[in-house]
Amino acid sequence: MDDTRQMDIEAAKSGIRAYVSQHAGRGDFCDDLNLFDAGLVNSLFVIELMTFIEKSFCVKIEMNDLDMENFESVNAMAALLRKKGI
Amino acid sequence: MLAAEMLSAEESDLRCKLQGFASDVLANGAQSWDIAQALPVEALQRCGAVGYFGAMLPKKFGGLGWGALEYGLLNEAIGAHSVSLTGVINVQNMVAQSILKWGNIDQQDEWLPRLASGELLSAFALTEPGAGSDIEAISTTIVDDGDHLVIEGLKTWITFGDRAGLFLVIGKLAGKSTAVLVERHAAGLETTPHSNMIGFRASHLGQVRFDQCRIPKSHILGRPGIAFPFVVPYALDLGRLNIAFAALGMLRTCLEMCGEHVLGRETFGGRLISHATISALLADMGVDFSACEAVCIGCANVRDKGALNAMDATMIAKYFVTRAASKHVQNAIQIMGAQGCHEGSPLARFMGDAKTMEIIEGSNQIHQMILGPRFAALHRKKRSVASQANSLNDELDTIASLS
Repeated sequence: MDDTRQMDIEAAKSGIRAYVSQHAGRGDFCDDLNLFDAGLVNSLFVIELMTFIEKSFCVKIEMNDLDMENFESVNAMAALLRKKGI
Repeated sequence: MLAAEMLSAEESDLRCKLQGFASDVLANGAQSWDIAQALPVEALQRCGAVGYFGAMLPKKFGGLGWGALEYGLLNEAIGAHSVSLTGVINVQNMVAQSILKWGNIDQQDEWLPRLASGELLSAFALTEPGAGSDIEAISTTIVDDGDHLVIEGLKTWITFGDRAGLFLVIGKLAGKSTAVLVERHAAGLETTPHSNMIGFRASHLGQVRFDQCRIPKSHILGRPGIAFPFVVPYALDLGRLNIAFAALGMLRTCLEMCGEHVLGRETFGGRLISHATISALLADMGVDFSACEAVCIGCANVRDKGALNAMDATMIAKYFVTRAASKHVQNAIQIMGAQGCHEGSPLARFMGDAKTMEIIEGSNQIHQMILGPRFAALHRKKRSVASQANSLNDELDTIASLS
């Protein structure tokens, strides 16, 4: 991965982290933490994460992307964005 | 009063037009419909003819292409007379928007034009005897059988369930939450009415039984596994917008009826409004109506802008306005006295409707469970989380520069 792309992904992760922090009321979680299992957010929040990712990164979440696993952690969402070419 | 200033001239004109339609079509019939526990076909046809059943669908499917505000104002206008009818409009738009969001092109072409025209009316079959707010407890099963699916289960308290031609049914396929579209004529589907409800009495609530009900496999909406996390919350979110505005309409009727009564009725040598206790009730009602109007219009604007907090805004609106409506319907009856206590009064009808609105599309207790932590998190952020994470706006600016 080139430096520019790595930087983009880091910026994306930072944005995702900030959005989750805003809703969870805390920012002291690692990027691998399963946000749902840890109780930081409940399962209803996944559709908001989907909307956040679509609108913030101008990507289309396709039917095959609609797995909880793709939204369960900051790293999982970053991986989804990488798949989308971010 | 105040929030009306938030509307453009065009939006205010639409609001007047919608209220005129509602008065023409509903004012004289709504009371008798609830007593009879049935909506007349003519009223449904009139709503269909002007496109209200596909209000938010794109024009290419025969819809009106409305946004949240126009749709909200429609529900306010109709809710002022018949909450039962707003219930039918609600489930129709929930199903239509679900097909638009999650359906494939074939499903959209097959069902959306008929839903938009009102030729086909629909129901959202989620609740079960053992699963209300806790949707994960749903026990309806969907079994893969070659080119078909076989549904087994019982849905209850389904708005328009006794009349709908199309059902969006939530069940589990191999343990995965799944949404399927089931037509009324499907073999093994049977409906029975729920009579004598305290609210939404003319909404044709029904029980829907699936007894080895066979449907084509192509009727899966989206794919297995997405119903609980995606399809259901998306539909309920739209439902909450409907409920908030319908409750606003109900509140407006309370004010109108009470206003006329307290200015016209003489007691103890003066008009009713001259008594401080009555004035206080009217003041509370008017202030809450104004606040509800602002919350509803603000919520609709947030949705129409595509803001990220639209779901929160809609939950706030549903919670706030239904709570206010429930309180002020009771106060309105207190002001009207015996005149409000008879089944011929809209207020008596509204009392059951308002209570029901605090329960449906996520009970207000569920709203508290979600909104409480949200507000706590938001306010905590102002003090400390901001120091743990960078400002969200800064992050979003960075993201915007990347995209």
